[in-house]
Amino acid sequence: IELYQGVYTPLTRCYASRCPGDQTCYSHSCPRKFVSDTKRDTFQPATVTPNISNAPIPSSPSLPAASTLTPPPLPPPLTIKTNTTSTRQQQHSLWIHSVPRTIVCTTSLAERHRQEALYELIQTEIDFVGHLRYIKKCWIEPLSLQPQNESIVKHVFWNWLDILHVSTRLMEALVTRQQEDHRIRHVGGVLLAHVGQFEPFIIYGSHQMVGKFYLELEKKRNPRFAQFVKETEQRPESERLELNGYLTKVTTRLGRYPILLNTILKWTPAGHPDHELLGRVLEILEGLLLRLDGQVGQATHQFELEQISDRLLFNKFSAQQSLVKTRIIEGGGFSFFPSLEAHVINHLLYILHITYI
Amino acid sequence: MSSYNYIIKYIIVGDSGVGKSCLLIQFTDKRFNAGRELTIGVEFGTRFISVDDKQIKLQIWDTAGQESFRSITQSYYRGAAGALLVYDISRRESFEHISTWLADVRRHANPHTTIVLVGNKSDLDESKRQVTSEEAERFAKENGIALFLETSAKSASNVEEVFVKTAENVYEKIKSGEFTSNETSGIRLGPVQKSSLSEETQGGACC
Repeated sequence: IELYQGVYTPLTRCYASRCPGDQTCYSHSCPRKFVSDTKRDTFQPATVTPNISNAPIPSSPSLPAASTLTPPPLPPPLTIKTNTTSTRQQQHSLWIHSVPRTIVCTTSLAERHRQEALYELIQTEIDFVGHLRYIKKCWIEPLSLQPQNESIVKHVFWNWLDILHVSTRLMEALVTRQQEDHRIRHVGGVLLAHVGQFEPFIIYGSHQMVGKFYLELEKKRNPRFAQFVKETEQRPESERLELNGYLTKVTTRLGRYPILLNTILKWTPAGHPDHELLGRVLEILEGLLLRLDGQVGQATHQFELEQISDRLLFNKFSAQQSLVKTRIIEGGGFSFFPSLEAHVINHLLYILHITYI
Repeated sequence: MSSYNYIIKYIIVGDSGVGKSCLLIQFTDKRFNAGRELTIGVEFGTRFISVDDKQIKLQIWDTAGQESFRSITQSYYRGAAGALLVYDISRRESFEHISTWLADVRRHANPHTTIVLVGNKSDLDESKRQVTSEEAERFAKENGIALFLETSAKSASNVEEVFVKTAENVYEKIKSGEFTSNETSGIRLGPVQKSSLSEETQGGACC
């Protein structure tokens, strides 16, 4: 185990060849970073403590966990603030750091892998629910205080609270399972019971693109809303991620489940009950993703048609018409005559002249 | 506390198993996961780099798990300033699918998006190679792809270069005015502005 990655004085040259020297660079261990951090007080050599999650899986059972070995020097060390958002989530994200060492030592290598994969599933679910709650607390609730925001809240967040409900229940069930034993025996049953409730993911995902459109539109039209967005995105709870980053998390999460479950499955012995159950969960997830994909495609298509129809001065499409739009020119526009757009809609070729009125 | 001049958004696409998440983890965390520890890590990674004395925050979106769901991935293309199309040099099929990924990016991303072709797993033995670098280079040229590099997320070879060179290309476009900072270009101004290019100054800072 590496205890220290290095002790850097402000005069140490940064290893990054692109480091300008007189100011800090992208490297998370750039010595200049500490100069700017410590300038306020006094120049102190910065002690760099290793990130626990970077430590390799210990091969020797006699070694205590890295965290307990870190001495408390005076003045206290400046732990590197890393630039990666992932690191914060990884800090406690290894199973071997969460259980007593005797448990780790008495666990076979394959089982350790299985436990790590299970642990990752649960930790990422906790993170996911945390993000869902953040949106409720920092966005939906404050915006809902103003009645005039009702429509925009509905469009942007859609059935967010339903997803929060479903995912909280799954997360709680997984955490309960985790607390029963240091080594989780099985999760197949829990997952099977909950993925059947995942319908809100589809409902949300198929509306997401429309929600994003209304969000951007509202930011342009309503300066007070735009100000609220800007201020909220700068709050510490937002973790430097803009709203849109959170809005895509729901569909991203749905796509990540199969990856996580396949890893668990890979390390699950053949006779284990999870083998069959996880296979069934994976089938359900695949079906959900396929349906979501179809609905997203349909919703996008419908929305594009509505956008064209809204701009037509006559012959607007009626909602009942089943329209098929074939794009004959990318984006519909002619580069040599930008005010013209061409679309094939059903059996008709529309050449549209764009005027601003 | 660090400051930055721009946030640039990237997207990583390509077939399942070509190493998209591994490239991202290697770039942001400088480690390689051969399925030993974490499977997915993050949905997106961020890292700061400096280009031409400007601090740039890269925000990189990983599409892992959604490869077969084209309508879903489309939503990620909007507002990406850089798109990394990744294939596995030992899996010909993944290279042949690049034209489909390219068509998707061209259709849904901003027309100025910097597209980069990445042949991953260059650490593998030459006998396993199914796509020569000459062929990929030719493909890139014929299809107007700005950059082509072979990488190894395992050995870290060229990983830094891919991300940094993409940023340099995007930054050139910012300087020349091809890209402006807004929601759809995938570029936003950072909270601290020292640049002569800056269009606005924002208060507050975050790291």
